Formats: sequence, C-alpha cells, structure tokens
Amino acid sequence: MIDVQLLRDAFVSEWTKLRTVRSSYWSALTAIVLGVGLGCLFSWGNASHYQQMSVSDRLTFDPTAISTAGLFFAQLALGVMTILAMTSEYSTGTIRTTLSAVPQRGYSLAAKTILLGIICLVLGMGLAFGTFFICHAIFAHYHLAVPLSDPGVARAIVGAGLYIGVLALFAMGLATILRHTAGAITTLVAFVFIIPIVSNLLPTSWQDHFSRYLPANAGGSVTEVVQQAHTLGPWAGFAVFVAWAIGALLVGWYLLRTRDV
Amino acid sequence: MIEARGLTKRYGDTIAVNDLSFTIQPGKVTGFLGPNGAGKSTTMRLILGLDSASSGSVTVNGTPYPAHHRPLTEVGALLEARAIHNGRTAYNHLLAIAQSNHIPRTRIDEVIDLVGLTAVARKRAGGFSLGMGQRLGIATALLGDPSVLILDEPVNGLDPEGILWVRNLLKYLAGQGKTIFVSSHLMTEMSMTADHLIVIGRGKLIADAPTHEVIQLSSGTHVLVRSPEASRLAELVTAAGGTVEPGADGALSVTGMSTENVGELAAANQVVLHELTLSGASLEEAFMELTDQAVDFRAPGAGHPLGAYPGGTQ
Repeated sequence: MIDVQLLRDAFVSEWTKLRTVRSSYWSALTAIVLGVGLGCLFSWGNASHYQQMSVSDRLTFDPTAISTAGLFFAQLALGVMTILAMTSEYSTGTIRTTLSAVPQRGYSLAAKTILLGIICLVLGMGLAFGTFFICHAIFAHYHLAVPLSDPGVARAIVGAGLYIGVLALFAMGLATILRHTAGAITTLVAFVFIIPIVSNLLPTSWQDHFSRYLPANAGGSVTEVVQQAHTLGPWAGFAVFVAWAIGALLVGWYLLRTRDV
Repeated sequence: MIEARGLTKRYGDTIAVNDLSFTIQPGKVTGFLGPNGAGKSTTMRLILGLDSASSGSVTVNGTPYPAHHRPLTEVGALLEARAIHNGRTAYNHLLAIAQSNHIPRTRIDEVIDLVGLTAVARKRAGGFSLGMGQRLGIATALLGDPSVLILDEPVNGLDPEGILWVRNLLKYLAGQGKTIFVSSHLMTEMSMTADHLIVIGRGKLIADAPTHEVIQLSSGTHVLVRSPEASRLAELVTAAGGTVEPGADGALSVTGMSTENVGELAAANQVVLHELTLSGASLEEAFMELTDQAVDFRAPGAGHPLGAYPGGTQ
C-alpha cells in the first residue's frame, strides 16, 4: 500500500528544496538558452546555406532534426539539475535530516524522482515545441519549413520532450547510486555524449547487437523523424530507454534503503 | 524514552559501538560522554535508523525509529551543525523539513524566534557562523515539538552566552517531561547540564549513573572543605571511612566521600563549614581515568602481553 499523504508531503518538501536554491534556476535557464539558442543558430545556418549544399545533403535535409539539435546540449543542464537535487543532500549533510524526517526512504526518492521527472518533462516538451515553432519561422523564411503534420514530425517533437523527461529519471537513478555530484555528472556525460560517439565508430554488426540498446542511442530513436540505420524503431527504442531509467532507479532505491548515511 | 539493547555496530574489523545497553529516561537531561571517536555519533545515528545495527536493537518511545510515522513530532535530532545548503535561507531550510512532516508554518517562526535567528532567517545560510549553524540545528530539532531530543555536541562553536542558553533550554525541556539525550566530550560541561550520565569509551559502556555518582566513581575525585574546626572535622571524616589530606590555606582535601556525606557529617556533629566543593579539575581527571580504563581493556599494554586473556598463553 502506498501512503499517498506521506508521498504528497515528501513531494511538497522536495519542491520547496528545489525552488529555494539558485542552481535550479541557472540549470533551467542554461537549458533554455542552449535548446532555443543553438536550435535557432543551427536552423539559420543550415537554411541560409541550403543553396550551396550538395544534392545528397539537400535530400537528407531534416529541418525537424536541426531545430531540436540544441536539446542534445540542453539535456545536460537538466540532467545536472536532477543530479544536484540528490547529490547536494550528500555534499551538505542534509541527507541525514531528510531521511530522519522521512525514514521511509523510498518515499523521499519517489518524491524527488516524480518532481524532477515532471519538471524536466514539462521543460523538455516546452523546449521541443517552442524551438520547433521558432525554427519553423526561420525555415519558412527560406521556404524550407516542414509542417508538424508531416509524417513522423509531431512524434519526433513529442519524443524529444519525452526523452528529456526520462533522462531525468535515469539521472536521478545514477545520482542515487553514486551520491557524488562529480561522479554522477561524469557518468551521465559518459552515457549521453561519449558512449554514443564511441559506438558510432564501432562495426555495424556491433551496433545491431549492442550499441543501439544503450540508453542515449535507444532513447534518441523516438526523437528522429526518419529512423536511422542500425537503430531501434522510435517506440521500441523509447521503451528500452525507459527500462534503463527504471533499472537505474531500482538499483538506487535498493542501495538507498540498505546503505548507512 | 530511548532503549538500547546489545546495540553493536561493526565497520569491517572495527567495532564502533560494542554491545551497548541503556535506557534514557524522560524528564531529565542525560549526558552522553566519551572522548572523540568513542562511538557517540554512531550510536545516535543508530538510534535514528540512519545506520543499521550489526546486532542488537534500539527503540524510541517503544518503537524502532524507522517505523515512526512523521517522526519529527516525536523525535528531534541535531547530528551536525551546518548541515544546510549554503544557498538556501534558514527559513526555507526549516520550511522544507516542516512540510515533510506536515508541521504548520507558524511553528517555523516560533522556533526561529526561540533560537534567536529572527534577524538572519531570510538570509542565505552560506554566511552563517558555526554558532548560528548550531542554533539552526537546534531549531530543526525542536521543529516538531518532539518529546525526545537527540543532540550531538550542541554547544560546539557556541559562545559562553550560547552555551548558557543551551544549558537552560535543555533543563527547561527536561522539566517539561521530555527525554533529552545530549552528547559531549567535555566532562565539565556535562556536569553542569546533565542529571544522568552515560559514559562510553571505544564503543563500550563505562558508566551509566547519576552525574554525581559518575564523578565519584573516580578515585581521583576529592571534596575540598574549609572549616574553623579543621582538625576535629578531619578526625570525624577519618572515623567515617574517608581519607583526609591537608590542602592549601588550611583546607582539607577529602577522598572516598561525597560532598553530601561530608556536609551531613559536619551538620550531625555541629561543625561549621566555610566551604564545601567538589574539586573542579578532578572532573576531567575522573573522565580521563574512566576512559583510560576502557583503552586498557581494549588494548592490553606491553607490560602484560596476553596476560589479560585466560588461556592466552596456550
């Protein structure tokens, strides 16, 4: 049985903690600047150079992917915000206060996870749609705009928002397991930035059997309008990404319940 | 009420808390005394369920801490001063804790007033001194108006006025029937605050008795007494089983008797007393002596190798 009142109180408490430190606002602002700013920069740059592009480049020209490219960087800022919500409790020592106030430790983790999940989902959706529409105007100026009603476009935009939300769950899992800010951020960067690049350099047979199941690769599928070679389908990939996030949270939950603090 | 039974905590080969059993009674201040590293903080974390015991058990008001629902209204704790995010204000720090246990907001201003942080409550805690951090920690512990208070070294970093304030606060709260468990490594501080003492060394229980008894456990303790009839008093004390040595300025230094015994003895024989004091310096000596024994017990000296253990010569 879930004690709803206990979860609600823990959630309100976590919301207060998140909104009363500046790092939360800096992280959110950084995500918005990176997401929208880089999206606009990439869109304007590519659209204005469309005439100089080769025929093959023009054929694979994907305005949706270009407009949401900034989210690839924005996700790190939101991942850091999520990680700090957990690891700052360990670095400041408030974790002991938190867990003695709510000795049912799973509720503390659940409250943090739900809060950061919702915030990152809302910010992710806002950024995905916001950037898409702003960049849509830029592309329209060059007569290159692709409408939301084109096949796969709406799903890719919704998928980009969902991806950010699930990334927060994954980051919370990592933070709970590792407890240290630097360690958790480094691990997240490795999973999200480094491993996808490394895996692209591996033979395609490895990609089919291994790389496409890695969290960022699997989660990235749902953000693509056109499925890339050697990747999972949009929703299959998303399901694998969700499984990674749940797996990380379950390991973190187990460790949080059993470890001394 | 806090009850520990056979409480033990091991970290690998190290035993931090070794088979501790004690009962902390409500209505008085119980001091938890021991040198640094004796296992005081570990014991407090075990009570709060933050660390899990290797064996044994501990309950607060009859229930293991982790089974408490909204525990802050029953147990308040200060474990470390300055356990606060530097970017958060004292008020918001307390607000988040209060919300997690459904404690009304009005109580936050009350405890901020009570600990004297009203002027800085809306400032970010990064600029707080250690003393302000301690006051905020005490405010946190009092937030739920709990019947049990667990405070780890609450006077560390406080100025003399702050120390006096904590001492009076703890006595006042104990007077209201609350259970007060407060640790310190300073015997003199504890002798002025605590009604009852639990002394540990190297994780083991050394003493669990009223404060004045613990002080007298040490043979080094002596009662300083001045009287115009010093020689007659000396005879009476010796007859009653005490040992008398001449002190400075014609005072007598009595060992083997408590201040109460000496005073009653003098009154019964109508001897006028000008001074009757427990020697202050000997408090620290008593403490050192108590904890030295624990050290000896744990690590037999080179003078008697293996001799402490039956069968050790096999």
